[in-house]
Amino acid sequence: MRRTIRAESVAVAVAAVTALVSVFAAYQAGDFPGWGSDAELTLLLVFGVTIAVGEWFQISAPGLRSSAPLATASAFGLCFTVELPDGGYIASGAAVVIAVTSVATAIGVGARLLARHAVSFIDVSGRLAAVVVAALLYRNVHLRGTGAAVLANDRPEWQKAVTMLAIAAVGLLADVALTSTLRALAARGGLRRIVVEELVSSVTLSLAVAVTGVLIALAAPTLGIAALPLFLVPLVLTLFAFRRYVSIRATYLQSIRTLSRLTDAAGYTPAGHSERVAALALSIGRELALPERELLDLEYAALLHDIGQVALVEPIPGGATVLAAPADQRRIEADTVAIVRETGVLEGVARILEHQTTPYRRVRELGEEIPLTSRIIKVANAYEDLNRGARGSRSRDAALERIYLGLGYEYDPRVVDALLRVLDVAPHHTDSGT
Amino acid sequence: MSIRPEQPAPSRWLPAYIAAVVAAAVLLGILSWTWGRRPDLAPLLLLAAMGVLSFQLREPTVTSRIGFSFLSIILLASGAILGPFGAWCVGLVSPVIDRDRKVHWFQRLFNAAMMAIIGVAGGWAYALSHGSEDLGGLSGLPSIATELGLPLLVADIVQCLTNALLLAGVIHLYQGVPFLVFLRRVLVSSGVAYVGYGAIGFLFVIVWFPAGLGPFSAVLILAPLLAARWAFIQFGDELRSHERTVDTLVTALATKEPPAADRSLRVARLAEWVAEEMGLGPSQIGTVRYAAMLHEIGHLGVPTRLLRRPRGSLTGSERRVVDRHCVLGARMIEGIDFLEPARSGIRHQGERFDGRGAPDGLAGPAIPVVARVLAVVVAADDLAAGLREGPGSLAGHGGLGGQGDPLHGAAHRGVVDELARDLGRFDPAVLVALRAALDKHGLAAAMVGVADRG
Repeated sequence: MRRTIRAESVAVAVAAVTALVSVFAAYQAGDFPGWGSDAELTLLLVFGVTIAVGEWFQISAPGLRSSAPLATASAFGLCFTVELPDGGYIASGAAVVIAVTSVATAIGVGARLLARHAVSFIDVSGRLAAVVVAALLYRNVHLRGTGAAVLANDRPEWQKAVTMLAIAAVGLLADVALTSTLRALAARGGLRRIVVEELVSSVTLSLAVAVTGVLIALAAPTLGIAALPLFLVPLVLTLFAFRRYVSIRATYLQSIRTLSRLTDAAGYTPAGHSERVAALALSIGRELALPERELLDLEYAALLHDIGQVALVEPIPGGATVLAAPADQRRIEADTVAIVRETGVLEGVARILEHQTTPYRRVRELGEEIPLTSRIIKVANAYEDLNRGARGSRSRDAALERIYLGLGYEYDPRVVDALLRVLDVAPHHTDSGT
Repeated sequence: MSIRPEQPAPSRWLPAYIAAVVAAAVLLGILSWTWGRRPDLAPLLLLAAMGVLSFQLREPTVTSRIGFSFLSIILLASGAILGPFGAWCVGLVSPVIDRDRKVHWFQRLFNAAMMAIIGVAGGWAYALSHGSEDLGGLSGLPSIATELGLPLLVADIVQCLTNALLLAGVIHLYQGVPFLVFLRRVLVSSGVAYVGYGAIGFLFVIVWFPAGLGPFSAVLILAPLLAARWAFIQFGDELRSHERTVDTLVTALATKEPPAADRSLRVARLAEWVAEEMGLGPSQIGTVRYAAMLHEIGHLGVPTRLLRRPRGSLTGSERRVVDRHCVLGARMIEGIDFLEPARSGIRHQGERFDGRGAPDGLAGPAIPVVARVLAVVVAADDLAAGLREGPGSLAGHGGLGGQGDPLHGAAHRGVVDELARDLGRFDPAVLVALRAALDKHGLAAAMVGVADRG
């Protein structure tokens, strides 16, 4: 937790320094358009407002880094826009672009903070870094400062487009580099894994964003500032689709919750059984340091592990599958898996559930491959069934005693050890022989 | 949008319709060649290649019957860049090359003819609304807006309507969906999106000509096109996630009570027909269908021994336990947002129109329309199932489809009359719709389950 806060404050510091330095540099170079040059001033203002509004419309979803496609695309557009209709042009250097972008970003983020929306400063600073790098490379290196801006413009349009795209790509890489470093600072995870995750989760959207920025700049000579809203239209449509994407995830989550409650509602399992098994399984999974994605599947599998019981004519007493005959357990398991497979998106969960009743000895004796997550569910479910949600230490000890009897034969000793750590019980040293 | 294979039960007018569409496409092609602008070869080839690519990348099903591709966007741009005849060529070529082998030749033919007509329509709409032919000469916002933007918007709307009309015609003949119902469904579900994504075609033309990027713009415009495709995939996935959720719940029920799966399917289909006849809107038809699929989901909470016994042998109190399934079912699916409108339908399916029903004694229009439809459809399905397993099958006739089949001929009249005899139980308007629906589709078609289809 504390590391996360440190990374966030580093990100804020980076962003603030960028803003101050760029404003100062632009002022020093005398690049800010004077009050006389109306067209240029309007242009910077419109870009600034669009970036601020774009920051407001951030998108984020579980497993995806948050981003502000409209803001980043507009900022790239500002980076690359040099020519305007009727012979006008923005000759200013990178400092002005960076200053406008960082101030607009600050306004957008400030508005979000005021409205108590979530803000990831790490991602905000990453977006700024992309613009800083792209602006410096294009305006100060490629166009060699202000004077050469117009001279460099006699090359064919497609060459310009390729140059802009390449520079935008470098900018986006800088974004990923900065955010991954900050994330690695926050979590103990390896830098390389984080870089790969960040790249994978952002590459498609970043591509669309970079191209949009380039298209805005290319259309500016004929359309002027109208190019900005026009070329943002496809991205706006994509934002709507993203809402839909989030609602799809929500639907699946809701149906998992509903399915997990079906057996309760139908009186097959005691109220709250699946939720308790899920909570316990998650704690054990964390204790065994499973990666986030597996933890999610584990949670869903635990929530759904008993759904096959609906096929029983008469409920098992107390809904405790651990007390049912092995053949019945397997039939329930098969029904559970069939129902879960029907969702079509929970294949990972179905695979976990396929092995939830398989005894651990099959791993030892037959070398069968049973996912660790299945073994966790088996232990968590057994403990819950035997303990029946009671809180007292006596029922807890009785339940653990029953589990010890199956240690190494039914249950994986590693998982049982983790269970003991979760329950805060002194480990029971029996696994020396297994 | 294009047609995809799905359980065909075509009308005999279908071949005539396809032939007419193909003839119209050929005729329009000749007319465009004679009077329209002649396209340059290089851009024509490039746009045709993009058309083929986009048709290959099409997203199979937006609803269960329509596929979407960004071919429409390419066709729109072609109309401005190449003129009517060029757009005709792009439309014709794109669907012919198809890696999906399941698509029948006549579907391919129809798709090609339809796309060609859409292209021509867009091209002429653009030309007739004074769209510029000298695109490279456009400069500045006012001239781009009036000589390119506005004509493209007109062409876009014309294309959307042409597409919807042609599709509704073929779906009407192919699957018996009422023409206007389907037309409305297409226009409501994807009309705005179709016209909206036309904006990308506009941008494509701008980048190509006024901005002077030339053919390289085809590469750059791919990014927004793919973004649009992703958006449409989300649209389809959202519907699919709903279908999947409902299917999963029905599977859970069928694990407990196997015949329930078939019953859900039959009731849902009949309910959809009735809702279509009543002229309900597309989203309400969807709600009726989901509610019908899940109308017995509450059986999960009813003891299996009661469900297995015939209803006649239950005592009064046992019957009340079984009937409580409506309330249980509505409670079970609480918390799934998209099923929220269906819940009241499930809860109130046991209400009587005269207000003497359970659980809340609602009367007349106070009963949700979904519940009124469900009450009728479930009762009709019960009666028809009784007919099928009754004297007909006992007498040893050749099964479904034989001359002596109890479900053929005017049998459905008997079912509706039987329901109407129970005065005050059902909404008369729904009964009228049921009669109309069964007149159109027949009782035998209504009773086909998964098992019968093999």
